[in-house]
Amino acid sequence: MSEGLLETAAAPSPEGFRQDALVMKDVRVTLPTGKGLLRIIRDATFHVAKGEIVALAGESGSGKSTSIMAALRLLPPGARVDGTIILDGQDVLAMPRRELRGLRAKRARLVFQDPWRSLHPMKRIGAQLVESARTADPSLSREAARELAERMLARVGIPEPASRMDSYPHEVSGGQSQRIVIAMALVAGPSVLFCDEPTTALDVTTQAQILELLRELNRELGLSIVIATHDLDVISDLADRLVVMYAGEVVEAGPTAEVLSRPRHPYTWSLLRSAPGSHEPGERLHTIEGRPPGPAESPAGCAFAARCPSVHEVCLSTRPEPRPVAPGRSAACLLTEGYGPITAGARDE
Amino acid sequence: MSEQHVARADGLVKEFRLGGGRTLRAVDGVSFEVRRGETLGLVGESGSGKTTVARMLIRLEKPTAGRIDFEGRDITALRGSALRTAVRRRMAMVFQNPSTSLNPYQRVGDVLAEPLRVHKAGDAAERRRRVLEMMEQVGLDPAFAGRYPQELSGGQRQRVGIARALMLDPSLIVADEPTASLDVSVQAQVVNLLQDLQRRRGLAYLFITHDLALVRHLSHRIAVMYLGRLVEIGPAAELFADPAHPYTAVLASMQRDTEHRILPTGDIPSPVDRPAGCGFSSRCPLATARCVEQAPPLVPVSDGRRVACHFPGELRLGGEPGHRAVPAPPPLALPVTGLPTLKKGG
Repeated sequence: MSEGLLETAAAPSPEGFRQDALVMKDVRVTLPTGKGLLRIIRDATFHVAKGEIVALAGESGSGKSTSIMAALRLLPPGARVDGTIILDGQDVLAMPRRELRGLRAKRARLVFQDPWRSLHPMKRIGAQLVESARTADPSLSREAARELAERMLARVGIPEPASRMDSYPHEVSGGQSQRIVIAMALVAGPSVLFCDEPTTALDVTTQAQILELLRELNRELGLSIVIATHDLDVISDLADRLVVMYAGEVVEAGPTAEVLSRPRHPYTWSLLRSAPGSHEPGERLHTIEGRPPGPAESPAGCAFAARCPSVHEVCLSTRPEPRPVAPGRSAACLLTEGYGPITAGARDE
Repeated sequence: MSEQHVARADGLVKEFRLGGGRTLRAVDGVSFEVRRGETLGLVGESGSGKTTVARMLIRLEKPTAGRIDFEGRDITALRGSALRTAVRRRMAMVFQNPSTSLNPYQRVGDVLAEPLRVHKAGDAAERRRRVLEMMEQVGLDPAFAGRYPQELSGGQRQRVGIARALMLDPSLIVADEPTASLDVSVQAQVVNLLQDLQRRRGLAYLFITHDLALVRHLSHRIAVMYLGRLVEIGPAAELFADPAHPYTAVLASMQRDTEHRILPTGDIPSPVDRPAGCGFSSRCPLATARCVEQAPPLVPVSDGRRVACHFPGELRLGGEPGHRAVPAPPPLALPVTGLPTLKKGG
């Protein structure tokens, strides 16, 4: 179906998967409720190569955070996940619960938006880091774990790490808390770091510092990083590749600089155009009228059709699938150049 | 003079008492004015005192020291009915989170009628007429009057918040991060609305935000706060193109290419143990012994611009100012296909 879009994802051989930190293929997340089935993610396909920084960008309800939660199987009870998710070479959906816990403790770690809520308020920072390290590697002695924790605190830029180990979370600033949360993930020696809006709660300068830190960690440790964000400015010079999501679907993917300067999906373009930074001061901002379809709705055609400035009749009846439209780039838009012939009608839901 | 500005803060100080006989000086001698019909952007890190300044200006907090003038009248110590007529009718606030600043048990129509009711403006029919008129002005379907806030989207709720602020015909709106909880595309709609209302009604805004692109877009002038003090104030374009204070330079550099960004080291110090000298000295790349010992006063550097720095303009910015290039629209081609609908359409 999406042949050639993602070379590695298209070839389901284990060899192919080893190249990738994360492969999501036709992932569908649904939530049955009393009022009907909610479709949170609709057939999302993307991959994150080893050592790569990939940003999942989208507005609220786009499915960017849910994608991360699905990759770690941290969805609320009752949520149903279909498709294929290969994380760090392992099939997440087929994994027994115990192995899954091990994977989350060690290989794939998660950093949340709000650092204050990620730290236990009544436990010393050192104790929390030691716990994290020893959960990942039970053979580690308490002393070795403390030493590792201290080293990681120093690495993420916490001044006087030794004395900080004895502090409580409320004694440190927001920027420092987020550094500590990152250190807590690093002591486990992960290969993939998931960050859900890691800088949204922080000030501008602190934000820049944290992004710089993530970039360094990516370069030095070869850490693969997946960032969910609503702010395209935040990741414009951090992420290698951008995956743009809309109403639970991947609408565009490609190298960040290219997607930002030459978007191939009308949604990406509209979004970039509505940012204040793309306007002369005081000028009227471009807006996207209307709002995305909710998870309970199932438009027959393209989910963006109702708001799209270039909508065509065919968009209302045929649902686009992501296809390669240029080297390294894919877009789910029937009208975008290079999309090719439309062979099927509406894809089945 | 008094006709030029709608509100003026003079030497505002706010201290909060902490346990153990300590005090926290959240705002330390802040003076500025908001001119008629202008947007004054107020930026600064969390804990810099910008929200406290705004809350004092609108008299939700009582200043520890200093004076506030509004529409040519000293309102610092007003109470009771004088406060209600002179201040509450003419200034209003739009809050950051429309989900928590609207009463979930009140229908939208009642939310909007409440200010009129409190100030005994008109009878029920007149109030209803004004509510519907206002809803139209802010782009809300009048049918929403009977709905509850949680039935509305985030953008619609913020329109309700804005409409509520406008019900009593204010001359000054204090907006505290009014778009921070909104998505980019919705934010654009709300920002346009705020600008339309300003033009139509000659409103002045004190606009608090940490979004630099947004503050640059909206503001005529910008005031920068750091650790409870005003460090620079001036016309928005000049401030971003040619910042005089090193902290302003740091902020302005965030709007430039990565290689030109200036990242300060460390964190903002706690206002509880504020440095004796300049508040920014602990992170400033230019700081000297003088900066650590002596707090620089806010002095004019050019027409309409004031800065509090011993070395104004010395931290220079590299790269080009200005906005991000607007990307070209995606190249589109009509789908090459045998679908009948397309053959018909040509």
